[in-house]
Parts: sequence; C-alpha cells; structure tokens
Amino acid sequence: MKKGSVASKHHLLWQGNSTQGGDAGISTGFAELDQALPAQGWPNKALIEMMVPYWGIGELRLLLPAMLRLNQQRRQIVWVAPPYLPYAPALANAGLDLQYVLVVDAQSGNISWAMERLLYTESCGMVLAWPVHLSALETRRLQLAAEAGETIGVVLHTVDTKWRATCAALRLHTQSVIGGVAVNIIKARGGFNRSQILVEL
Amino acid sequence: MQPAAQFVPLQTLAPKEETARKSLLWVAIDFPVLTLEVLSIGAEDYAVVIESSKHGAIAYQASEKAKSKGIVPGLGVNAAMAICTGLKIYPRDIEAEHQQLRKFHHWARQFTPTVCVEFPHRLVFEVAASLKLFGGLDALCELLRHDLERLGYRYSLAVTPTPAASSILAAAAQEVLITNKADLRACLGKLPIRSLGLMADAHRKLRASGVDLLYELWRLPRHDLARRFGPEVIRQIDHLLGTQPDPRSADFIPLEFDRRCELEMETREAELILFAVQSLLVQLKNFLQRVGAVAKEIQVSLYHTEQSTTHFTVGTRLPTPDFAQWKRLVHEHILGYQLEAPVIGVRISSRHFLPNQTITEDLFSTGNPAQDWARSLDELEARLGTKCLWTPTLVADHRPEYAWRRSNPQNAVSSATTIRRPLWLFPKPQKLRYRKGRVWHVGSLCIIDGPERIESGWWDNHEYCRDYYTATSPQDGRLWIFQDLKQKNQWYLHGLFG
Repeated sequence: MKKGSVASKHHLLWQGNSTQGGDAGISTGFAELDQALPAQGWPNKALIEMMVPYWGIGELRLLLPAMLRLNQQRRQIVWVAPPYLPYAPALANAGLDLQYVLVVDAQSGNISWAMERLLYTESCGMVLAWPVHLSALETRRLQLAAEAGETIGVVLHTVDTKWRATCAALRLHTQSVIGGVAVNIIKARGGFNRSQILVEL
Repeated sequence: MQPAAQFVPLQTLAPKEETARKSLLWVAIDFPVLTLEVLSIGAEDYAVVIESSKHGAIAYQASEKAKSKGIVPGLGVNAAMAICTGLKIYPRDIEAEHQQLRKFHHWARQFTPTVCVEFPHRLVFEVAASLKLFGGLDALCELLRHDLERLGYRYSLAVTPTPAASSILAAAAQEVLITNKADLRACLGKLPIRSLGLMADAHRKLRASGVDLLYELWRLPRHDLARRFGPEVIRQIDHLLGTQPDPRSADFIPLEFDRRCELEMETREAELILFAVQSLLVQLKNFLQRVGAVAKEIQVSLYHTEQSTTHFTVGTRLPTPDFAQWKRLVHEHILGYQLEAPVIGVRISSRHFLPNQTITEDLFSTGNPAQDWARSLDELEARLGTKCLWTPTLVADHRPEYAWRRSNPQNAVSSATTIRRPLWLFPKPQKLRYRKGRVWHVGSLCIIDGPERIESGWWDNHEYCRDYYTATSPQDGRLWIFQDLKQKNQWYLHGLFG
C-alpha cells in the first residue's frame, strides 16, 4: 500500500460499519474474534449475551483475557449466581488479582436487580451473570445500566432457554469444537458481520 | 587554632514563658429533683422516694408537699407515714437516674467534648473552647437554658473558671456566671462549709472551731488549716479557687441510640413502614450531628400484631451522616423480607459509632469510585444478606476441595502456580457413566493430559487417593476428571475448564 494513500488512512474514512460513533471496545485477546467484532473487541459499556449448549465449554476462557485486562486496571470482576464454584486456584493461575473478584450468591428473583446495581457502579469492570430467566425489558435495563456505569455486562444462558428478542449490544452463540469454540455472531450493534469464528483455546 | 567560644545569650536558652494561660470555663448543671422526676412525681404529690439502708428503708428525697409536712431525708418509712397520711412511697430507681444522666451527657456533648458526670445528679463540662462557635458565653448560656427548659427538668446552672466551684455553686442553687478567678472568693464565701463535701471528721472539727461559712475559712492561715484539719481541706480550697490544677477527664459514656415509633395502623406495606423508619432516621441524624459521630450499623426491629418481632441489622462500609443512605439500605432489607404479620411499630437502635470524619468530595470529579463500590456492596448486602458476597481465595492444601475458601475481598491472596486447574469446580464430584465401554459425559471422553496424582489428607479423615486427568470430547469442552484409586474403575467429573 502506498504511503499517504486514501486506504492507509482508513480510520479517517467512514466505512459504514460503525453506527455508534466508533467507541473502541476492549480486546478479546483473540485476533480473529477482534476482527469480526464491530468494536474491534468486546463492546465497552454494553450488555453481551452469550448462549452455550452446556456450561463450561470454553465461554469463560473466551472472556478471560478481557477479565484480566480489566482486573489489572483494578476494576472488579463480579460473578452473579454462577452455576458452579469459580475456582480460586485457577483464577489465580490465570493471573487475576482475587482482591478484585467478587461472587454474589443471589436467588433467581434478585439476579437481574443485583446485576443492574453492579453495572451502575464504575469500579466494576465486568459483571457476569447466569440468570434463569430474563425478560426483554430487563435486558433493556441492564443495557442502559452498562452504558451509564461504563461497564461490561455478560449474561450467560444455555441455548434451550426460551428467550425472545433482547436489547443486548452483542449476542453470541458458542459451540464446542475440538481444540476450542466456534463463535457465531447473531447480533452485533454497529456492524452486520454474521460470520462464524473459530477460536482456539 | 581553636575558634573563640560562642556565647549564647541566656535569654534565648531559657524556656519562653507562656504569654497567657488559657483560662477554662466550667459549666455545672445540677438537677436537684432528678430522683423524683424520673419517677414522674409531680410537685403536688405527697410522695417520698425511699432507699434501703442498714436501718431499713429510709426516706431519700421527698416532694415539696411532703417536705412541708416535715418529711426529711433519713426519716424511717414508718415515721414518715405517721407524719403524713396518704403519703405515696416509691423505691428509688437508680438505673433510671443514671439513664437520664447519660442522656444529659449526650445532650451536653454537642457543646463540648469534655463532659463529666458527677453522680448522682450533676453534670460538669468545660466550654471555653466552644465559646466562639456558639457566639459567646451569654449566647451559649441562653442556648443551654433554652434546651433545658424544653427538656422540662428542674435545674440550676453555674459557670465559673473551676469545676469544683461550678459544681458546688450549682448544687447550692446559686446561679452565677463568673469568668474571673479573682471573683471566686467573694462568690463562694457565703456557702456553708457543708457544701465542700469533706470527710465527717474534718467537717465536725471545723464546725466545732466555729467555722460555718466558707469565707470564714479563707481567713484562717493555710499552714494551720492543713495541720489541724488535714490536707484534704487545703486541697479542696485550692481546687475551688483554681490555685491548684484540678484535672478532670471527660467521661466517655458509650453512645447509644434507641428510639421507637408506633404506626397509626398495622400495615404490611413497605412504603408505610418506611415512613415510620424515616422519622426515626431523622432523629438518628440529629443525634449523630449533636455528638459528632457516624453510625456503623443500626438494628431495626419491626413489631408485629402478634407476639413476634422481626429484627435485622443494617451495616455500612461507608459510614456517613447522610440518612438517605440508611433509608435506602433499610428499604432494601424490608423489601427482602416476607413479612409474616402486619407491622405496628418500628424501633431503631445503634451502639456502633465512629467519629465523624467528613469525606470531602472533590470539586471536579463526579464521584469517588471506591465510595460508589462500598455503597453498592452495602445495598447488595442489605437485600441479599451478608453471607451472599464473597471472594474466592487460596488455601495451602493439595486437595482440590480444600484449596480454596470464601473470604473478604481484603483478605484474598492470589499467588499463581503452574498447576493446571479448572475455572469451574463442582462442589461435589459427579459420577461419570460408562457407555459402549467408554467413560462418557455428554460425549465420549478422551484423555489429553494427566495423570496428576493427589494423595493427601490422612490427618483429618478426608483422605483422597485420586488420579486427575484433563479429558475432552467434541461436545464437552475440556473437563477435569479423576479416577478414585480406592474404588475400582470409578470415574468422577470434578470441574470444567470453562
């Protein structure tokens, strides 16, 4: 590419794939995934919805590099109503400072409330929640809370959960494949890329 | 060559004399009929308060009317009843008196931190340092009197530069206001020596030598006084006149707040209950403002129509005098409760206070993230319960189940090792099934890493002997499984690599 050509200044050009004013996201830690996502990573100040066939197929490892980065900024990583025990030795091995890790045990009725309250708090970097049921209205509230608190909310649920439309900025469907996960982007605010990305874990 | 010795002028070496010793001002407030007032005995009652002594029950204090009939302290109960028919007799309630004095103490703490209680019914506090704040001595006295009138207890108030003088002047109902030590002699002179509170022996000797009033004592030579009546007399005089220091240490009566409020009608509605809570919280705020403290936690009790009472404690990580914060926390608590019965009354009490260190907000920043965090945690805790927030931390144990525990975020230790561990751990290992002769979870598992033998715990009866492997299948992701070496061919799933 010739120096000074128009294409080399592509960041100055409107390319029609950033509808939200190009708020850069936080890198996922996986180059292929970063490229596919409109925010060049996990969208900041947004709600991410992640569907998995079974718990533990790799969804946490997918989020771990981002968690680590936020944790290094001394922002809290909060787990609301996780299905199993977040295992301290593994978290420490991954490099997380456990002082900035919090687990919240909540009954199903309080999960969405607790998540919303936490998303409004700026010290939170990422709030992960495993709600049993979430209405469209609740996802809207969570999305607004994430925007106001400048935090990332991640809602994880299994595929069989009957959910209708949601207001999450990013909706992903992950599947287990040998040696990693396949990520399908179902909906991504700010772009119309609908590819499947294979992420090696 | 030796340099010439430097002579330092002596004056600069001598300690500088304090230019003006700051003079103190002591307010004494005596509550002469506190004993009667705590028992709600009015001026019109023929009543006497008795206490027990070695001679049986004797009168301790009598009401005005009873006094006029000739009932004096020390009189036996039978004699008193004989003098005055229809006399009401009450046993003395010392606990109530002390309780009331403690309340006065809390009240006085708003004017100065140096408040001393002189049992049984007097309060002495130093106000010189507070004069500027309250607009001078006259304004302060007016404020004190205004408050005391409102409280409705009989009192007498004296202000002098020494605590002892203030105390005995107030006790003698001499309401004076003296700011100069030189005026003390003249003012105290008319008091009887009884008010010195000397030992019986010294008192008797003084009386026998014809000394009745204090000014007669001033005239006697100091040296002889000490020799004849003991050093106690001299010390008392010195304290009275301020020639010897009379250090008083402030009593630190632990602060206590306890108020209740009844609802107009029984209700289950959180908003109505909260209305009552709010009125109590306003009282708490005023109380805290007066004593210059902040509450760390409060106890809330909801009284139900039936016998039962709901108690809960609301704590905060961020003690501020801001009562809106308490209201929010109590609200979360009440919403979290399934009220069994309608509520008819609310009580709020607190014993956990900290000195108020006002947190100054930065002019330019919108908020302090650490405070925001503390506030959110408080709210979560209020709604979900204290045990619902925890941080996983490491424990030095080789067995996977014991290698972690729940802790406070402050106590969390993170030291990374290189052993592979799964992000999810199952609280209890799950038995894995066999299908077609292969270990199966969602799909057929194949081992990709291992074994790691964990054989430990013989000392606490949780002995494990396991071989751990990392296994995977196309459907499962990565699993952490183990074979129990004590059982034959039994595989368990213990975690997921997430």
